[in-house]
Amino acid sequence: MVSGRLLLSLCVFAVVHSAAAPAQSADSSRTKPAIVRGVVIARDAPLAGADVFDRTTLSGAASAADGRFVITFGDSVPTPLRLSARHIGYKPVDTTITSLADSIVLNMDPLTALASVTILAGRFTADAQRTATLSPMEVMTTPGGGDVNSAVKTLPGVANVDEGTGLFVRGGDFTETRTFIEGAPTFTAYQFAEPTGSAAGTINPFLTSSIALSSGGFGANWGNALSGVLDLQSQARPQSTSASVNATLLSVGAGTALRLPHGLGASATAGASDLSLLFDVNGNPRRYRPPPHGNTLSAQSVWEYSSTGRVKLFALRQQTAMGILVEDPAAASTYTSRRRSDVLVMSLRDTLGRWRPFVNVSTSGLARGDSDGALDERSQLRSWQAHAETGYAWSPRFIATGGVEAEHVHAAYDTRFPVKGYDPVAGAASSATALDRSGVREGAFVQFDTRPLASAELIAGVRSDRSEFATARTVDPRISAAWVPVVPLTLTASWGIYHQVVDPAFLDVAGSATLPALHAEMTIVGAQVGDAGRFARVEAWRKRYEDLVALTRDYAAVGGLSGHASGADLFVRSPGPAGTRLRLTWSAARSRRVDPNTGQESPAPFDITNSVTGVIERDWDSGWHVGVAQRFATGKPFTDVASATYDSTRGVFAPTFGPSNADRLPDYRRADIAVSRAMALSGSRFLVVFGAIQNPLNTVNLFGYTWTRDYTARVPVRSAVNRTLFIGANLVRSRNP
Amino acid sequence: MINRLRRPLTAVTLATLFLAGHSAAAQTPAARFVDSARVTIDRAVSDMDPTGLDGAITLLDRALVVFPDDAYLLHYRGYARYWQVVGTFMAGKKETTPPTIQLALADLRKSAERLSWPETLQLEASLNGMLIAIDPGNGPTLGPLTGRLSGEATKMAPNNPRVLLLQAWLAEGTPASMGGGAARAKELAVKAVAAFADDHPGPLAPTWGKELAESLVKRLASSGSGMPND
Repeated sequence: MVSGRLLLSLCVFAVVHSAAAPAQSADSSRTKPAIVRGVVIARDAPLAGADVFDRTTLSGAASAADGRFVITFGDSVPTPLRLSARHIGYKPVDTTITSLADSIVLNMDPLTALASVTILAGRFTADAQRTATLSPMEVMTTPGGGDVNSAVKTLPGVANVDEGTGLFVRGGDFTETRTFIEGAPTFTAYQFAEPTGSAAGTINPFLTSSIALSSGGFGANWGNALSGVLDLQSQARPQSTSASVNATLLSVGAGTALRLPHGLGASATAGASDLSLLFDVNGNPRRYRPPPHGNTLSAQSVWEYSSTGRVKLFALRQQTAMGILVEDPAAASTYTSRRRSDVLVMSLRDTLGRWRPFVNVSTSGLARGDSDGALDERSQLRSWQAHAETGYAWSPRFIATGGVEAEHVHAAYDTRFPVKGYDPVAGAASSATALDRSGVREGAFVQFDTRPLASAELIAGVRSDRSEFATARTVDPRISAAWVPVVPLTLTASWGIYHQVVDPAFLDVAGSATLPALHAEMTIVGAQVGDAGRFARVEAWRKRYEDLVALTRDYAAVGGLSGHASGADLFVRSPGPAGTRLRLTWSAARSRRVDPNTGQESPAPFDITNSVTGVIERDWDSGWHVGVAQRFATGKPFTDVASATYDSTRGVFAPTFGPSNADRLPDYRRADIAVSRAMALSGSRFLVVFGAIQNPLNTVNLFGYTWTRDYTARVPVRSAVNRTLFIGANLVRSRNP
Repeated sequence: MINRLRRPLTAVTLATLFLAGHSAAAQTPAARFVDSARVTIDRAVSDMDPTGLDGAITLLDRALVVFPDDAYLLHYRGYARYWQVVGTFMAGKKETTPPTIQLALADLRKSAERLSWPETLQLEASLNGMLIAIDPGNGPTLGPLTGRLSGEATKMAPNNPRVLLLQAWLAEGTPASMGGGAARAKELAVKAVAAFADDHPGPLAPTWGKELAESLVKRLASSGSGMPND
């Protein structure tokens, strides 16, 4: 019996001991003494705070101010002693000591750690990590916003030229800022003067996961963009399977998202909008007839086939139409516009060891029809594009990226212009032009991202493009640098040459087979203090333009125009009092271009010398969000009429214009308020209700001027936004696993 | 009677010990350090001892030098950091916690790639919930993630008392209008206490939480639960 108990006890010991045995070294025979002393040094000086420990028992100690450490073992010191030392900022030390000396000396070498350099000249990001400026939710809740472009207009470097959605970036026209979805270009076609302001395509921010605006200084991987790049990344795989419906004063919509096994996910949305009800409630100061209306369809699928790789398919189709009364001196008319745009892009992104491939294939299209009196323009643009690039990380200090792309563009224009711009009435003399052309643009780039210092990043690259719409191949060297001399200060600088193929519409009007690509040279220097939620950033920039193309008042295309612009942007973001968040942007700019009518240099039509936007927001734990924005911008330039003579042939007055863009509209001021509340309902339902008052003070801003029939008096044309109440709700029902 | 049962009981006990010891060692060569860290963290949490928590993290840092990427060690380091974050929240310095939260999330995510513990997913959910508490603007992006991770943890182990307890704490810090509130927290805490009666964690798996759940139920009862906390 006793021997049986002893056997059992031995078994218990063996079993319990076996659990720990694998963690012990086979050669850890124990000998005395039970204390190990030593010192940690770095650069011949004692190093405090290093964690020194035995890798067998994990017994250890931190080095003191004099670098000394004392490790106490239970009863004996394992031999050989396998010591490790760790200290942030120093290379790890692992050593095996077979013969214990009186004192052990561990020498740690400083690690040339690469400081985080996340700020690049001209780049303002708005991703879900909220590292820089706006999250998609902030885009949605930006007072006066609600779509990507309206919110991006609150970022520095974007001038508040009008109440349209065009992004006029740092002295450039809005057609010089290209929008890319998953790296695929979408169309921002040249548009003839419109009574509604710049109307560039824009999308629902919740179709995106990341929104980044480069207002210059962008890398060689971005081609065919002159002034700015708006880089939109579509949503990632849905977190849950859900269905949603939304309704506002101007739209209704529904969506669904599926989270599927094997890394798959899919989502789709459909929506229709009509401003009739909004105008019924708030008035229709610009007399839209019919009010803007349209529909949007989107679909996306994601396959996360590995922890680093994913394939995305994104499709978006939008249609809009509207009419608006135009009070022209010659006669009143109705401007009507119809647009249909689409984009379909498939992309693959992965990290395979040192390789970082990114491939996309896409098609995008824009069909539009605009008419106003004698003007009748119909156009169809279709692009097929393929882009492949890969980065190769030689080391943490050096990443090389190279890529190629090809884009086939088909453009068809069928346009009728009034012969004289001052006589645009229906039935007036007009001329017709037509174009049906296809062209291929091929591009290639190489870019090196290096860290010459631990605290500095230098990106240098060059790209070359050849387009069948352009007269010659272009070569664009670009360089960008960022240096963190001391945390949290970052200094940035960039220089580069940028080209954009001229819109084929100009080939039609100019009667030319090719035109030189638009050319810009840009230099930026800047500094940022702070990071994340509290920072101030200032950038000064200068641009020189060549080979610009513009239309005269009589719709003749003039090429070879030049221009220059310079300015400075300030962007401050900070927590405010009482839990508020503040952001302030101030963009000062001076933009001058050669006027196509006079051949003289004058302020550009979009030369807004100061744009200031202040936003204050606050969130409450109960789900309430309130935001208030105040915008100010100097008035838009316009060309006044000096006198007019009666043209008896046409029966209208012919104006004689004064100096180009020498006068300005009154300054622009507008406040906006946005309120929303998110709340969880029973049954995994989530409701967001929101409301906004645009222009609550009903400030009268001017869109422009028209004139009386004989041009003896100017008649102000007010902007479209009077005091406007807007409400809506979004209901989501999700099904978690 | 007792004497008659002694031998079979001893055999069963031995068999259990053998299986447990063998199973733990088979799971990870770092078993004894995992166990040490687990005990140290539980003691530090019980004693509200931040120094003890730091000590546990130091031990886990060292163990991860010897056993890189060990999923068990990573889980417990993420868990220990969760409590560091809770302590900092309680000290009124929640705005300083995001770096620690990100470190904890990185550990837990890496652990979850190899180790299917519902507590790992729920800790991830809770830490994301804390990021929302720090900045409600994170709600639209992290809210669905938190919901999914909580759902996956529940699906993996519907009656895991620690998952229920973590969900109760998460609900307590979430406004009733957003699906939380004291009433919901109490409901989950009571379920957690009941679930501890049938809690049989595997070797090296988390065992913590029984006293904490009972304490939470008492606290919610004494503070007049059932009232929304917003």
